[in-house]
Amino acid sequence: MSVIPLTVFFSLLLAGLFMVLFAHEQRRRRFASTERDSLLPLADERPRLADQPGKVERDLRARSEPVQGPGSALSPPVADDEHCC
Amino acid sequence: MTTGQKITIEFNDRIVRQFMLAAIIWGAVGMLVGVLIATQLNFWQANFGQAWLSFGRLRPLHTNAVIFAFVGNMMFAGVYYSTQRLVKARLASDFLSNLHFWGWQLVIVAAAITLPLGLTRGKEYAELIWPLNIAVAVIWVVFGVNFFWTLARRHEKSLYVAVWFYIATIITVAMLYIVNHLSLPTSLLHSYPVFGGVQDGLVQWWYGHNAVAFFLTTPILGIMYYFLPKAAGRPVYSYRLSVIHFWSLVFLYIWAGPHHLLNTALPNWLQLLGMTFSLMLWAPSWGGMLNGLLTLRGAWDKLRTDPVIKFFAAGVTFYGMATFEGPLLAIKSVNALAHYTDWIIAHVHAGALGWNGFMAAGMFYWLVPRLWNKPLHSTALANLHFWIGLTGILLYVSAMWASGITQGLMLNATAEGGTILKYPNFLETLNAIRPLMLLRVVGGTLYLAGFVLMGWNVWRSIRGAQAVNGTMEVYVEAPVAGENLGVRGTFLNAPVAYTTLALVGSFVWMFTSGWLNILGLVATMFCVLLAIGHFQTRGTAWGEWYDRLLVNALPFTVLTFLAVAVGGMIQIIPLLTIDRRLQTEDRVARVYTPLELAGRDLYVHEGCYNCHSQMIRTLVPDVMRYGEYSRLGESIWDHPYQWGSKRTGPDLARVGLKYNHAWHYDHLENPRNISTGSNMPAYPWLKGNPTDYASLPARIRVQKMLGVPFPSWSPAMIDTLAKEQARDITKDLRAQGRYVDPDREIVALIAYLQCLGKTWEPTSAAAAKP
Repeated sequence: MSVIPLTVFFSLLLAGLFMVLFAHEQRRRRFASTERDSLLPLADERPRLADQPGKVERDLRARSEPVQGPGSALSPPVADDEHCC
Repeated sequence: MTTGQKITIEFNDRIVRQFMLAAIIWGAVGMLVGVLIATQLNFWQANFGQAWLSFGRLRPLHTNAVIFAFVGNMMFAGVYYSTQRLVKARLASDFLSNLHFWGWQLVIVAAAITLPLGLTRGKEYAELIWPLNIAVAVIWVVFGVNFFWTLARRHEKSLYVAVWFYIATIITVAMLYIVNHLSLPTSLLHSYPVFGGVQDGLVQWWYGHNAVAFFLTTPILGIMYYFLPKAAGRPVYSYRLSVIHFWSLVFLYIWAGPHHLLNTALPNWLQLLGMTFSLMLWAPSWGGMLNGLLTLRGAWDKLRTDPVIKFFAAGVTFYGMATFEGPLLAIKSVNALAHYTDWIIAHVHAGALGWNGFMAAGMFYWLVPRLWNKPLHSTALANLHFWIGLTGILLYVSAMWASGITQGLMLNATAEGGTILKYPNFLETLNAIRPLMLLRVVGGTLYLAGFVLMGWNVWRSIRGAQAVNGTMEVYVEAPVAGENLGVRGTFLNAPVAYTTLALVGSFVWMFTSGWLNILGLVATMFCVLLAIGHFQTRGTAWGEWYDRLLVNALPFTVLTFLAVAVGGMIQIIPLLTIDRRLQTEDRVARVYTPLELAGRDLYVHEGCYNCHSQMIRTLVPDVMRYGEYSRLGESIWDHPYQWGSKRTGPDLARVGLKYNHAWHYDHLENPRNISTGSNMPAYPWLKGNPTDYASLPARIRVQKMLGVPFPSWSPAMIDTLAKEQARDITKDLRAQGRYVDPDREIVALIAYLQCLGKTWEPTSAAAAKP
């Protein structure tokens, strides 16, 4: 048996299966999922000077001097912001 | 997939900063008062002869300051910080946030003034006078409105597990606080609780235990579920475990209150319920602890360098230790040894210092750099704080363990084949634990020193720094069709149906006998098996329903309320609705004379209940030491009940007429006059202060309204009766060589102490006894 038609057949089978399952998953009305919810605390944010709405995080980023490098619990969140956006 | 309009929101972090700084300041004050009163137990002179510094008045200040001022402010900081981020919305109202903050601080200041003045309701952790009770309830409602309004404006539909715990906290504390603080005022500064005797005791510990559960535990668990993943940089270990943790914890916790009244006159069915549900609490508590600790998987290396992780890991471990010890202490036989001793003090401080204090410290160290956009001043100092604090806790807790077990064993020890007490003199047992009480002061001081270090570190970190607020970009999404659960969707579903049926079955099993009892057991088992089978085959449907519930805040809150309310309803309502005259056993107390009532109010005013119980348990050593066990009917008219929770001194339930008036006079003037080595404070001011006769008519009128069968005395008769009895007592005192004016407080207090255990009449049940 030729390997190419066999490969194409199984590839199409897998792709078809993926599309069917994907469509099924999309049709299911999911309002949340434990996997997604468990990541909620890890959402990124940026600091803004209090009482100065125009003063945005760019300035703060320049001022910050993290003591323990990126991701340290004792440093301001600007280091985390490098990951975002 | 996000398709809505993108907006940037700025969180209200100002309120978080305010609550955090308030928590640090009040925490130091509360702990300082703790160290002072611990010192007073070793050196009675440490109140400097001042009434307002005496142990009985300051101990409520210590507990209230630590619970409501320190943990309260810390909790509000954590709840407001995390909720805004988890629901992706700024707090709904800046006005309500500010009202919440300043109102709460005002209540704390008022408490710090009134409690040392002896203005108290005489119930533990519920001492504040009635105007402050109303203020607390109003501020709590402000908190609740602000919180739920924020949820209503949220941009993140699904509620994260931390928010579930906050919801449970807000609704349950409101319910507990209002019920346990129901009072009838006699004046602007004084009231009597509407419940009396055993009813008051049951309601008190339904509240008292759940103040621990829903003020000191559930909000901190929410904080753990938010801040621990943040600090570790990874999601919670098992989100599914947190679902089980939450629902089982909030359902079981509320039932455990009666374990504070084991072996007392409380009806046995309630004691058994309290013990059983306490034991069941082991599972969810440890599920939560493991979920917290396992969140650190892959991040344990941070323990070496990061004080935030250190505090969180130790805090969660202390949570596990304290929640292991709690159910252990709730076993009746263990409780017979531990209750009224320092073992309980060890237990609560493992929770308060280890769990609450360390979680607070971890959260503060994490927040400071983020709220002021500046690195922490000194990581080394934070590490030093950790080690000093940990050493302090371990010294404190181990000293109190040793002290409690030693004194408990000595108090229960018998000799001569169990016919006599081995240590009949209470002071012998007190002297045996003196070194341990001193060690407690050392441990507490170390902990306080660490806390002050944190305060200094925070101060240096924020000095000169500019405060910042977090901002977040969010997408405003339109509501999704089919999102709302509605009433039908909330209640008519497999998880709720099976839970309800299994509960009904188990209640039939618990509260019936004979064939109904067996039917209840079978029905419960059948429901559980059916539920397991259904979950195995239709688990996806269960999950989908729960996912939908999480985007429906109101149905979620309603179900949480039902889960916590059911325990209270089943435990409290039967005892409150039954005529209390039917709950007397074979004795019923006669009402107090006007002077005895004045003396009783002084007993409460001076906080004597902090060290003396009035409940002789149904245990042989208790009966041998203090006399016949206490009957329900003997405290039936007591508003508030005075069974107590600690015996720093001996039980007083039957102290009446045990000694003559002169003995009490000398003892109150200076306990060392009678009992060499006593650590009880001297009360010289009782000889100088006049008895408040004028308020007696109002007090008796209110007690009559509460059902206490006082005769129909006119105000003039009340005055005459009180003064006549005072004259009789002073006449006896004169004959014994003690001279005091009849209208002094010490006379009224002697009148009360001399009636304890002596003023009861037999009921028809006594006549039926062989």
